Amino acid sequence: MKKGYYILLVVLLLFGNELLAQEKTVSGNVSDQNNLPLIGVNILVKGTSTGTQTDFDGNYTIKCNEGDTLVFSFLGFKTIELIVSTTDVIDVKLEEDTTILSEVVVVGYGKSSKVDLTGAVSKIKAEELQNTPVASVQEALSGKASGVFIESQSGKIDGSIKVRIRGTNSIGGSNEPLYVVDGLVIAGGTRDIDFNNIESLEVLKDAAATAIYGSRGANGVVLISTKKGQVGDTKFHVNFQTGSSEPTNKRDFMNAQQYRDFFRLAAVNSFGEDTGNFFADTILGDLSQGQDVDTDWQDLAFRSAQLTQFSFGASGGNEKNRFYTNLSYDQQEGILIGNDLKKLNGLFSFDHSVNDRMNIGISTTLSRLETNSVAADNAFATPMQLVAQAPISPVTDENGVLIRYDEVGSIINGYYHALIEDANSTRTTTSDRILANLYGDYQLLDWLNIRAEIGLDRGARKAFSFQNSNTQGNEVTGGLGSTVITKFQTFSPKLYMTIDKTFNEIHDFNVVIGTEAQKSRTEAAGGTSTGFVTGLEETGTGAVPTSVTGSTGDNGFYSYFGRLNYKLNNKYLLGVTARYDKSSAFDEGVFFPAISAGWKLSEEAFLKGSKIISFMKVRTSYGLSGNNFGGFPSLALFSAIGYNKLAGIAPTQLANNDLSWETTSTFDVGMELGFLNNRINLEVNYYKKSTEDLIQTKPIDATTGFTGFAANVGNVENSGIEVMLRTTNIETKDFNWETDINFAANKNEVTELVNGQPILSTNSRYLNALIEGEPIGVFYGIEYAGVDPDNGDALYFLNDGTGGTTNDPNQANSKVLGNPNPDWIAGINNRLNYKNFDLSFLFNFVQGNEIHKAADIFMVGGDFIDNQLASELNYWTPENTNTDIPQPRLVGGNGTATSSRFLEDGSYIRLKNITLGYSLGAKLLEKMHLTKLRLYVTGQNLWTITDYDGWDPEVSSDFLANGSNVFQGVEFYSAPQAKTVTVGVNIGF
Amino acid sequence: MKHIYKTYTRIIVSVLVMLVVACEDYVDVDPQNTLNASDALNSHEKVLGALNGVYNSMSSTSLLGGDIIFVSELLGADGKITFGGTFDDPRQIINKQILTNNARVNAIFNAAYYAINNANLVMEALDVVDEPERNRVRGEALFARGLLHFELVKLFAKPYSDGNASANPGVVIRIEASPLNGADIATDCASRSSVAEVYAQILEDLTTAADLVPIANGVYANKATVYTILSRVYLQMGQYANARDTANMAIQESGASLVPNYRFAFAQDANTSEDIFAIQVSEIDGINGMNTFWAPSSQGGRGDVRITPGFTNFLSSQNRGLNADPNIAMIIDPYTTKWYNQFGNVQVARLTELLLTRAEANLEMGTTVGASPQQDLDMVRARVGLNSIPATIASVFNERISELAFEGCYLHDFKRRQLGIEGLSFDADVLVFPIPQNQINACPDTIQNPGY
Repeated sequence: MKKGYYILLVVLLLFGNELLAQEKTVSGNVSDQNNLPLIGVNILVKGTSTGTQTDFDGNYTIKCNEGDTLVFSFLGFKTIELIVSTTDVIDVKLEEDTTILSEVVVVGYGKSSKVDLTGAVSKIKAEELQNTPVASVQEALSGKASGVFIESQSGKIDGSIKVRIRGTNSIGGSNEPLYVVDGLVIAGGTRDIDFNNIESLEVLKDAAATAIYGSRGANGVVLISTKKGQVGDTKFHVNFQTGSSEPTNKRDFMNAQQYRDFFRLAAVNSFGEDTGNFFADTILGDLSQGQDVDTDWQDLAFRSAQLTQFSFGASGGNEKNRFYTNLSYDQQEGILIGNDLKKLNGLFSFDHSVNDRMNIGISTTLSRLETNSVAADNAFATPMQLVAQAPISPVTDENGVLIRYDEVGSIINGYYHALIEDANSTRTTTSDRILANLYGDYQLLDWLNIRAEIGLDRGARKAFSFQNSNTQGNEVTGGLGSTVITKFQTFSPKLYMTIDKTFNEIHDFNVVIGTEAQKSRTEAAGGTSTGFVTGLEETGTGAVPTSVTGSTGDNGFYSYFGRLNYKLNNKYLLGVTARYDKSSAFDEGVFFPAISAGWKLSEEAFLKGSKIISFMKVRTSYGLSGNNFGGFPSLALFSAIGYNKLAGIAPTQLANNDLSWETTSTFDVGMELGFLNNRINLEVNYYKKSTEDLIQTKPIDATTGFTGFAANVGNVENSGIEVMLRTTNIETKDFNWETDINFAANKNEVTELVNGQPILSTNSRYLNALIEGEPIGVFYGIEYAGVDPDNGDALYFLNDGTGGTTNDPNQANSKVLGNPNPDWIAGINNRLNYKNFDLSFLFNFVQGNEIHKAADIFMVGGDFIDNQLASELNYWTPENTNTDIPQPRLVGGNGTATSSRFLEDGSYIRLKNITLGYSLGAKLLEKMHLTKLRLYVTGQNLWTITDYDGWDPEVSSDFLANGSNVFQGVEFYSAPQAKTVTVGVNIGF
Repeated sequence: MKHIYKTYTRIIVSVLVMLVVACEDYVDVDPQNTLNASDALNSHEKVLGALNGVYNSMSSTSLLGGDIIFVSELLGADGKITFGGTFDDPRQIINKQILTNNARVNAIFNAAYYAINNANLVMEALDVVDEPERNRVRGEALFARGLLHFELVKLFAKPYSDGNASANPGVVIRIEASPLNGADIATDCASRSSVAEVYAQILEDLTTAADLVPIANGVYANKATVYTILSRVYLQMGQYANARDTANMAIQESGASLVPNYRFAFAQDANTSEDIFAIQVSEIDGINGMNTFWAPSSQGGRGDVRITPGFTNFLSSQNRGLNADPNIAMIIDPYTTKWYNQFGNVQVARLTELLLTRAEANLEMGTTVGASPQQDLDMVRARVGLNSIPATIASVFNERISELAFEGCYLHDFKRRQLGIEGLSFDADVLVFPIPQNQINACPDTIQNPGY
């Protein structure tokens, strides 16, 4: 990249010494309401092509004649027209345009006025994200952007968060949007970003908006702009917030007496009086360990979790230099025992104006993130699996020592559990990261700007774990330790120029042409060892090194991109975007084009001046974008193996030279309307996306030695509508009330699979499938038909066309049972201000999806020793025949086959966030020498309305959903979400 | 006009400059953790590495590293063991209610053919192997290919002993390496050969291998190893003379001797003096898949497989159960100590199996090749402190049940002798695995096994 930077300098030197000069007739200064100079304001002599811009002092000079009209326009400000009189000096004060349609929107490689956009873009402002008591930007965004579905996997504080913009496009690739921070495509995730530093966040949704990101745009793009310093006095800010969290919900399990009776009954039902009672006596005796207790094991998984956030910073600057700094510390406990995170984040942003044409600047984020994790949902060691322990089991023996139930039992052993794991293990991940973006831009001509950027995202992560010899599986080896250190670096230079020119006052051109390259490297090294002396936990102190890892992975690509936006008469809009990407993953480069058009009807004579319709625009777009893959998916590869401590190789991947990107084509049509002087704004979009050439494993005859190879086969379609309504309900001096409503319905359909062949779960515990004509991850399995009133057998529909039922789940035919993807999602956000009080509340709607409670098979039917759901007490007996709870039978599997019995509507409405704040009045503040003092109380996930009877309807079990787009919407001992209340203060001085 | 011309020229120049900045350097990236196939099998050293890769793929927990033994014991449980774990697929197998999408069955099928293809790749790259080692390399690859076809045909097809071997579908025979480009394979599907054809191919591979492999070969396949597997093949085919002779040759070539204490013939870190062939496992390499399911958590396993009291009593009566003498006992209630070492080798064949095979075959043939059946039986019994009993086919077979318990022999011994299991006929449909559903999906013309 050095090369590129030098070239830029050469370019600048070439042009810098010779600037366009204009004859001076009128001069003046343009400033905002606070008398701060505005830089880059467009000044045009109306009816001519003569124009200029203000410099960094806000000064301008322009050649014109008396009687000419000067038009002063600037993004985000109201346009002013002034007639030139005899005076030679015209100073202008521009008024900020606060209506929604005047909004400036960050788009890829530039900005645009919202009214002139031909693409679908949602903008979220800083105030909407700030102070949300959550651990990630995605959680703070939830419910606020239309068409963006956000789901936290569970209440694990470090759990993954699923973000789907307009549905799921890919089966085998990523469906997460591209994250771009201050122009830099980041590689290291968003977990350590402090969202309180975000100035604005834009979500690019259709091809017109995303095609500029080419092969990486198909899943939408999230553009994050961090805060920058403004000209003015140095301002300090201090924010503090503290509170606590608890689970949104607990499930009802049996108590000790209920468990005892139920277990005995199940044993007798299965084995008769003699044997059944013998089993019950023995097993209940083993599990109770001679104590008489009633343990609520579920409670032991949770804790009242504390949260503390503190940040401090300053910003300010003058015409030459501007800065913004912030340092924040964030400590959050998860609601699960042993689960917490700490975040330290420092942002420094500096901009320098070299002269009135050249700016340079840097924005740097340093962060440290430390998380303590718990085991995956399917591990005995995970806290939520504590619910499987019998309530008759004491936690500790007479000596206060935790009891290992997996080592207890004369007929059957109990389960290992999280309290043992928590007391005897550590799982810590520590990440350090630098995110830096250096830029220089040069206003070559008043209509031509050249900008160069160098972005760097680098960091290191240490994943450390230690389990001592009291943990399961490590008794013999004397403990197990593991340390893996991963270094990653992404380096990305780019160079682009922006042309902004109006011809004859009616032809408005905005052109961006540029090039960008990226190189990423991930290096990892680590090892595991066994055999530890008490008190020593570092992996290197282990006696036996059992494995060593070391790897390097490189990825690279380069691109050319361009965008033309043309506006005719401020009415007709046309956009053309194209990007060419060549990646190290595939042999051939690919071209991603998009075209879009818009018509501002409100500028037409028949609407202009309408009292009701203040703004109206229709727009449409069509284009292509891709889904990027890393690694070397098209090559035939051999991997290193070791056997008998000697080296070797074995083939691990078949070649496919034709392999290419997955391509999503998107058609979008939208309408934007403003009513009553834009007090009501409505935006409606319809889209249809088709993702073709999905990269999937094409199965082949396994007797070849391979089960498949990566090929471009398959097709997924998404279509839907989005509605966004923003209203200013009341606007008076003392009382303001605004409402944002967003609604999105998406229909997802897998339209083509390899050979039309459905792909069903290979594990009979799970139902998610891929079936042509059905949505991705559709639940497919046998249908529960309730209980045979005659004998208490669980029945299943045969689904063979006869309408009959069977008590043998293997005889029942499978069918489509439900959909893990919501039919529609919505958010309703209200913001009220009354005098010094502010109140906001956000409701989140997720409707029409099913959830598979996959672990409930262990909690019903008395099948095993697990504690059972209290709802099982309504089991069938000869007297209680009208029930859908089958007769409990120990190891009888009565009703415990995976079926629709464990599938449930996961629709919910949730009060996602509610915040009440009070700000001190100006007089008081002045006395205290403060500029701001706001006290607030905020609640997250306080109230949920749902019929779902699992833990929480916002769920996708981690061990299934991580790395799979198919196994979604499954609850498997997944922690409920956290319900959080905090109090906080924002201070400015 | 001239001024504008100059300006535009500069714009064009700067556009060109931009185009130069991004360059091919960024995408010129090679794999560093893997070898490109074109660079994989082009030297003596790499092909030897690929041969070690064949052993590694055989050592998979889906194959000799665990499941080949584990699933045979589950299918042939016959009241000896119970499965108490939470995994569904072993439960299906022990309950004889195997679904065609059973993940474990699928993994065994895929892993076996993967290893077979790896062996074929080695055999097709022999040109670059130095002359002195070429025969050995080919012999070991043939051994692997023959052994894996044998394991496949035992699990995925009706037993040879049912008399319809030439009509019953066996498994697909693979004796050529597949191309390494997916597009070249795409929709080609091979069809199942008959059981008899598969056995013929196995015999061809193993008899050729026996000539090529050396007498001593470290922990890798040697003559004794190949003869041992051949003796198993002949036993399955009921060819007792050949079984006797190959077992005898294996005993003679191996130089093996019994470990004095039965208990210490198992769960050791290195091959014992009576091991004929074992999958090598250590702390840093390999996984003992049998330990995972058979050893209690205190021994590094999950403790899912438990020995029933009935079978424990039987083993005790054979001096191998809950005996007072820890040097003999192989049961610590309710687990077998045979798989107690998490990082121990997985034994594939031991000397006592060969002694009992030779005894059984000599009895069948009325001969005393190598040793008399009585001598062989006495030798096995004496080691566990049992007195001599008359050597009959029944007494030798009984000895196999206790001596080789939980080592994966029971099911196949019962099948070859046409003895029922759990009230099922030896050739019952449910005692044969289904062809995995994934394979049926990829090759819809594949014949599924009866009962699935």
